[in-house]
Amino acid sequence: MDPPLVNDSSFSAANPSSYTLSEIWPFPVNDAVRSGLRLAVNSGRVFTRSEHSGNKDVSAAEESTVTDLTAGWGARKTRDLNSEDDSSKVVSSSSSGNELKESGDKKRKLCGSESGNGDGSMRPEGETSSGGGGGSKATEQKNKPEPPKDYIHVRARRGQATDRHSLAERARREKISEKMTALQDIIPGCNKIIGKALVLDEIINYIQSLQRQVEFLSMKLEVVNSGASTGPTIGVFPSGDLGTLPIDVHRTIYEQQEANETRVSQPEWLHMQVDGNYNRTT
Amino acid sequence: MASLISDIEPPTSTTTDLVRRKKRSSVSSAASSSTTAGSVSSESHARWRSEKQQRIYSAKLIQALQQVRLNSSAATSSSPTAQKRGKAVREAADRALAVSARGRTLWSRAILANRIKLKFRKQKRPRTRTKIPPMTTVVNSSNRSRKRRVSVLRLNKKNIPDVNRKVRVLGRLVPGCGKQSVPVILEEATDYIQALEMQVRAMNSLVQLLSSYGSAPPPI
Repeated sequence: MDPPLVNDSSFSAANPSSYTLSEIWPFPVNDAVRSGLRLAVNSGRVFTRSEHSGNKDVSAAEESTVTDLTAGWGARKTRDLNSEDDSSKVVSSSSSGNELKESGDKKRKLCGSESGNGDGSMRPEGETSSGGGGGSKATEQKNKPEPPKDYIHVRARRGQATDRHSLAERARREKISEKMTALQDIIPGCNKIIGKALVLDEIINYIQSLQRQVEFLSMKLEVVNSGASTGPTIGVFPSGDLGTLPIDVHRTIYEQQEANETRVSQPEWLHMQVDGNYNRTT
Repeated sequence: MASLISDIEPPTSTTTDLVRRKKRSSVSSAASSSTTAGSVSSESHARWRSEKQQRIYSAKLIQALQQVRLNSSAATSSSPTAQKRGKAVREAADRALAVSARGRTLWSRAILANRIKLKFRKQKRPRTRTKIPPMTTVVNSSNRSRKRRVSVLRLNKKNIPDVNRKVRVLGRLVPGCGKQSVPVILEEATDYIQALEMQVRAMNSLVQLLSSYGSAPPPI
């Protein structure tokens, strides 16, 4: 055994192949403690693996027992977690080697490749492997079963249901609320309103008023267009100058824009607009 | 010409400064996080609030208005678009807006598709019906074929929950989103509201310009 590292002796003093729980902990344990202990054992095992990385046969032996353990552990783990255990949930990491977070309150969606999405399979606690990169990290990791799965990995919050349907529901609800907040940002005066129904009321009113404004302005444009046909219409400019026309128009448009901008952005937009329009017609 | 264009570029007022700052930050955020869902709204926000877009829209609107004016002066009393004489400007404005949207949104495609369908249907009908006097035929068909089939079923009678019902109402307001799912409707509404705001701004300034041009010639 080559590597002259500090932890080497302490770990190799114990039997390197007997890392099963029953040998280390001779007392009868229940499920929760067993899962916790397996965590500790596996993290210990990772240390040894990283230190013994140079040594082939030991690592091979370790890996075989590792897979045994994790196979058993994986089976037990899904049972534990499906019973909505309140202990900290498993961290899911995709093969891109994201950071792992231990505490369970953040929810994070990691997309694997989208190919596996078609059959709609979402594992409740996304057990992906950490790939090759994770195995050699000397951080505290839990060994996960190897093959990377192509699902959307969603991490559940503490104490919430982890079955497939509720996760899908939650994802859908989050999407909808995201879009609602985007809408709230656009509409003036909607930041203070709480509750989806009221916000939607505001949105509907706003769209209706915008459409009415467009209607009104189009009538005005029509009047201006066809009313005094000699002077201020669009047809006045000779068609040869059409290239220059938009630029002139836009220059004056943007000089007048400043007056209009303030009107649109004020909270009483409706009254201001209507009053402004009435004043202009008279 | 180039000097005129360069005149337009620098913003002058405080509100446009704010808009520009917001647009810059939102554009940078959109560039950095192009895959997040929030980037959709920020990117569309930048698009519809930019002056360049408004310029494009105003140019198209002016061309459309010229055409409408030519049409209305050419056909005298009983134009083929008898019903539309009152709404010609509004529909031209909506169409110009839809074209400026570059076909990426549902509502813009619905507006343009509706117009094309209408044109085809109008050309077909007077040929097939010969017994009935053509005037009423045309009016009726254009009446009926103008509106897209928005479901007028009373939403109050169903027991769908409150928020969903309001989203359905919203979907009826936005053109082309009558029967879409809730997230689609919300997204289309976002874009549609911004486009409408731009339309109102452009038409306001156009009206002001034209009415001021009538009263006093602009300084050159």
